[in-house]
Amino acid sequence: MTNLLIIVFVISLIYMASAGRLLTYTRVLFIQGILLSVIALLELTHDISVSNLIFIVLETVIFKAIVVPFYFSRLIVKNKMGNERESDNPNFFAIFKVALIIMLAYTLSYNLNDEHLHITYFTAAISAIFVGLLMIVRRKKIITHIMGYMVLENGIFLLSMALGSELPLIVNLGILLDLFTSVLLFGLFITKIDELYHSTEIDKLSGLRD
Amino acid sequence: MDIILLYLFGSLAIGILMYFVKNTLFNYLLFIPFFAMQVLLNLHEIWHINEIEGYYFGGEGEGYFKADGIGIIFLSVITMLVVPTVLHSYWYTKHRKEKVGSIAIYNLSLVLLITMMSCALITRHVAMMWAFIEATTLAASMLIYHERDHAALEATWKYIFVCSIGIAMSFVGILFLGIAAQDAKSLDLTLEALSQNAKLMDPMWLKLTFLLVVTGYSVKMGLTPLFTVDIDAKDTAPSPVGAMLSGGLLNVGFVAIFRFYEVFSTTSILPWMNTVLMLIGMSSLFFATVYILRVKNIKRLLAYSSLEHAGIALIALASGGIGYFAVIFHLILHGLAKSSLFFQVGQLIRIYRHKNIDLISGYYKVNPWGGLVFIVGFMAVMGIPPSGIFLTEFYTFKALFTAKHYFVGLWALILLSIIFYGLSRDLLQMLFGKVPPSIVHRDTKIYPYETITQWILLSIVFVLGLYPPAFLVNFIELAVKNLPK
Repeated sequence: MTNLLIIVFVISLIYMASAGRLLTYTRVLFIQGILLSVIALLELTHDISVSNLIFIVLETVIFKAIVVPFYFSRLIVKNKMGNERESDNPNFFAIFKVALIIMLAYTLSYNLNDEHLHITYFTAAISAIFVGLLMIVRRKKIITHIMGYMVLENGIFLLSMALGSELPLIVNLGILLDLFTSVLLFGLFITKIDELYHSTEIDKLSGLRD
Repeated sequence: MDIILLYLFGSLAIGILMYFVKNTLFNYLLFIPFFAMQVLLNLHEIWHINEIEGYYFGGEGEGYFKADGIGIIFLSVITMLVVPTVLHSYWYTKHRKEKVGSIAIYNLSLVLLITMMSCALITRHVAMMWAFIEATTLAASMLIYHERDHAALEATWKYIFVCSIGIAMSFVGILFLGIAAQDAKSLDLTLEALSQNAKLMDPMWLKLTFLLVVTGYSVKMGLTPLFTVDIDAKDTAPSPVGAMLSGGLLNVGFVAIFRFYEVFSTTSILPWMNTVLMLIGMSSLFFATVYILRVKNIKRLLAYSSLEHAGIALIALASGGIGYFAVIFHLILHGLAKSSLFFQVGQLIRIYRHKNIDLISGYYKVNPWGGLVFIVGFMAVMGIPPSGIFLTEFYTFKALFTAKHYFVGLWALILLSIIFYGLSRDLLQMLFGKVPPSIVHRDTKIYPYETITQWILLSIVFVLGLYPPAFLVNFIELAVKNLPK
């Protein structure tokens, strides 16, 4: 069951990389959030204490699946970016790149051959981290960069489950608080950038240099 | 009574209160209880050195805080910087005639930044340390955005985004460490447990962890590869904030890297780690040299000089022996000297109203006390005796040549000489020459008393260089006692 969910997660990565409309990204993030919370529920039930489990599942449902996607959809609609697309993004090559990343991640985790390592989790996690980085490096719109960052965070979340261990509750709380604030600040500053530059393309931010 | 909890929640409360107090004077007066708590925390930690604290739920594997030698040293540096930073912030906002609303956000963020840096220094759980360091990004970003113009927005966006990515990479490193820790059948991620079990872990995972952690925290310490956002931040942030970033946050980034180095130093990957640190240090020095020669912005010049010193610090750490002593002493002195220079640059910008070195001349005539601070401060950071930094750089080279790193030693010597030339060229350009006619009739005046705190910080740098007190040497020895001889 979890394997199936992880495969759906990986497929959502491919879909995300090939999509161009900004609102599609938020929908994929919503789906990923739901997937992650179900995976967490299924996988961690026996491993960790009840309080920690409830916290993690609630965190993924509320934060990853609801707050972040809806916050950014609202932002996109408010800043009238709903129908904007990422420019010059040939879909075929994007899919090709993500497929390559997934294959490399699989080869890597297969070759690591560590007894404590869950190959499926590890592959999905590393792929998500690199797809997130790819989106940040290759795309032009700042809001896509934030989406890339969220995909990267989802990858890190999967990785922490591949680890199967439990961080103390207070540490989880601190991490959640940090992520939450950084997403809020991202939203705040992207609105400011839109107001000041009348654009959210990263190329506009090139005033500081030596 | 738990002092750390009192400090954490007390500072948060004061910060929130600052947000709501709509009177400039009262807002600044709130720093008095904050400073009192900072001193209390500092004294408490000195008193309870190496004691585990912070059992909040009574569970197993708890006790999140423990102040060791290195934590206390850099906590004290931050405490020393609090009063000068607040005073200069007051003068800065007063001169810019800022509204109380923006002052309130500034003060709130400053309190949060100092609190998070202090807590990051005294925690013993690597994931807790991560959480506190990530929180410094958020507090710092509000401070960098303070002037609210195009440059500030750009620098803030880059800072917050690249920091978030970098810090996320460090978190991946911590998770890899968790995978490695399973070899030792222990999931305890406290420093003591990790150093005990490090020998049992798979070196491949440890190497990956170290690489990710150093890359991630390099954004805080301002090293290659991620130093660029740090330079932008120090350039556009108000000068007192630049001082806090150079004198406080740089050291916090160093401590974060140092903790992992210390934990892994008992394993077989020590020579590999030294090579990595050496390469990062050498490339940081190289970039610092290139940019110090061509940069025309006084704040960026100071920021690149911080990059240089961060590079020297890593080289000293990697060369071992007396280098261990040198690196900690070096960073203490650099923090004090560089922050006093940042404070002074704030006053220079107040007079000239821009940051371009080519358009600044005759500063010594306009403001003799400030000019003197510049001379003494540049002497300190360039390592001219009797500055303490001369001593630490000398020890660094001694360590390098003792460990037979002749190439690195030569590389550092040549680059440091070029930096010496670049800095003195810019210093002379700014201090002497004709006073630009545009500022002759300006009524901006800097009173000599505004430089008092800068003199105090600089005199500490020189006194420590000449007569390092025994208690400081003891603390430094405590800080490096776990490293291999």
